[in-house]
Amino acid sequence: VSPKQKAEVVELIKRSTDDITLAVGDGANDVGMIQTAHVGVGIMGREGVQAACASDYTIGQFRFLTKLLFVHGVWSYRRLCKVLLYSFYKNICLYVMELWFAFHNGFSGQILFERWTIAIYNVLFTAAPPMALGLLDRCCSAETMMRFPAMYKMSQNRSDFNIKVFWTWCLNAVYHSIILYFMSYAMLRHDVVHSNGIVFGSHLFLGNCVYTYVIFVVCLKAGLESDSWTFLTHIAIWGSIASWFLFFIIYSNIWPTIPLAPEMRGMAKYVFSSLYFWLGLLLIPITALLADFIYNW
Amino acid sequence: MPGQGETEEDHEQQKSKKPADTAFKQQRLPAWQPIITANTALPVFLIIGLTFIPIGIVLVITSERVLEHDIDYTDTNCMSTTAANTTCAQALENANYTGQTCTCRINFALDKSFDGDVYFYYGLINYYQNHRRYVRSRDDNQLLGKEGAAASECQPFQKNSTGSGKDYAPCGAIANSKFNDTLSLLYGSENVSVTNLGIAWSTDKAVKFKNPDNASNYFSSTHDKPPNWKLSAWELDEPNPENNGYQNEDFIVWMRTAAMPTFRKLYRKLLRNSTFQNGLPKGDYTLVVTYNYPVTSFAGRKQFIISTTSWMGGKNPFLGWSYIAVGIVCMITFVVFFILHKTWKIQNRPPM
Repeated sequence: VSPKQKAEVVELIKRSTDDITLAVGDGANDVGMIQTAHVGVGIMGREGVQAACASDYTIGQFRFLTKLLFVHGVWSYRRLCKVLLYSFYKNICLYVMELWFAFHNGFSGQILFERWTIAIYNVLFTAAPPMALGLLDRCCSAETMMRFPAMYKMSQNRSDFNIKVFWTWCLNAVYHSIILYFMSYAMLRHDVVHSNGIVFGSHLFLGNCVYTYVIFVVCLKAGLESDSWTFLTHIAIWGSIASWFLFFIIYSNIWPTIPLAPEMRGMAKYVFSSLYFWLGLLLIPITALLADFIYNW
Repeated sequence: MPGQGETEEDHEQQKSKKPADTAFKQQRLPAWQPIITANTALPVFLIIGLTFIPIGIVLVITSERVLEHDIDYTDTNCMSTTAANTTCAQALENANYTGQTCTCRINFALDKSFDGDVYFYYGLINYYQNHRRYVRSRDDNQLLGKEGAAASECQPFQKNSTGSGKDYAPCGAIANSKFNDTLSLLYGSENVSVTNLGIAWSTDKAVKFKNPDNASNYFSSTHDKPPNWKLSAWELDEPNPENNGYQNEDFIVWMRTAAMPTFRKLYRKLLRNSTFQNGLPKGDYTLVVTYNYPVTSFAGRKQFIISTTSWMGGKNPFLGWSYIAVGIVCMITFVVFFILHKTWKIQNRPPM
């Protein structure tokens, strides 16, 4: 059988069915079919490295193919789906709040959060949880996956990422943002949240409280969605929350030594000294995640 | 033999290319795999319910203990003492808002004594200090007392372009719209002693607002006062130079733009001496208003608010009731799922 004929067989299957094709080969004459198939697996070894160079995945022996599919294939599918859905979720959750705030600022376009806080959201504060989900999450151990190959079906029937799942996550994000914003708004509406009668003033005070609650909810949601918590997952989640607190404290003290963010000066001091903030921190993220907890149960 | 030699080399090559056999790289990291079962979830709901409900009750009681008295003095309550049968709002409108002033006296009674520290606020309704164009209309460098032209964000309140061409000090819409009513309280015929210090954020006062060098010259000759101001910044509290100019606490409080269109700002604090040692006693009071600030043209409203505080802050029962509500929801969830769990367990038992 010539390389061209091998490629044509794969092409025939691709065109006549809707299925995803995988081709595995170890020689130079398999390169054609490896490249034509959706997923090409090359065996590195006896007949040289051409097949391996042309492939998407390279394994050492034919028998490793089962582990590649049943373990890593399924893990990879589930992880990718989670990362995708989670990335949409966390951004929708934060940015939709600007819409709710617009109802209260005359639709003038004033943002609730400080602009660098927003910019660093995806870069620092919520970067680690999706990485932990994408690199480390696994529904079952490798041995279990190999023992029950029927579990491979999970990755074949679009169960983890389809239109229904996607919109459910988006609505979940909107639901969280509603709870987070409006509960914080009602909690801070009467302006006096310190025992010494000082008025907190400043939409940024509300913004920073809400932002802290968002970080908590979003990071804990990653934890809730995670099927396995390794120590790195713990670091990703608690570390992200800690990084926000650290950033907040530092950022609230730099003006006017550094000519940046005059409106943040003193924020950390006044937010952390307000009991309303801490009581809200206990109540509001738990309220937001209650439904998710029940749903996962 | 050549075959063996090649295999050995291959082995060595393979050894160097083989990824490290660590737990991290081979996806073997030990993990806690939480599966939420009835045995783990039900206690969670029970604990949340049992802690939240008492917290909520404590918060509601604390909020109920805070005493507050509001007086809306926008229009009908505040009748001008000079013009007959006109509200102060009307008097200002009749003079076409050319800086006319108006005084009124409002009698009211406190039917409970306000014990402890008492705080006086002015409240504004339908006033959007959180509007985007308004929020950015300030110059924080100027407020630090630094040299230099006023920032362009302050426009159209950056400089007196129709008149002297000098920069406004302070520039910007926030500063220009500073609240300028004076509100004082009489207990019978006695003045209620108040202080205008300690009302702003301590970080603002210490760090963000500083008077420039040679302040009196700065405010009177090199810069103009904002168009809506009657006095210049250096006349805000002349007896007290630390509370004058940019460092005036009323000004600092105003510059912290409120989050919502209904807000209050701390105006004065009760000085607890002689008659007012324990707070504000029960009885008849008079609020004397110098009505300068027009709000009726945009359907705004003004209030004078007298309030005590609790260890939490002002009067806001929302948090307390939320805790109670969430606690009750958790308890209901616990009960429902507990019953379901028990019934299913019974159903799942194999037949005898």
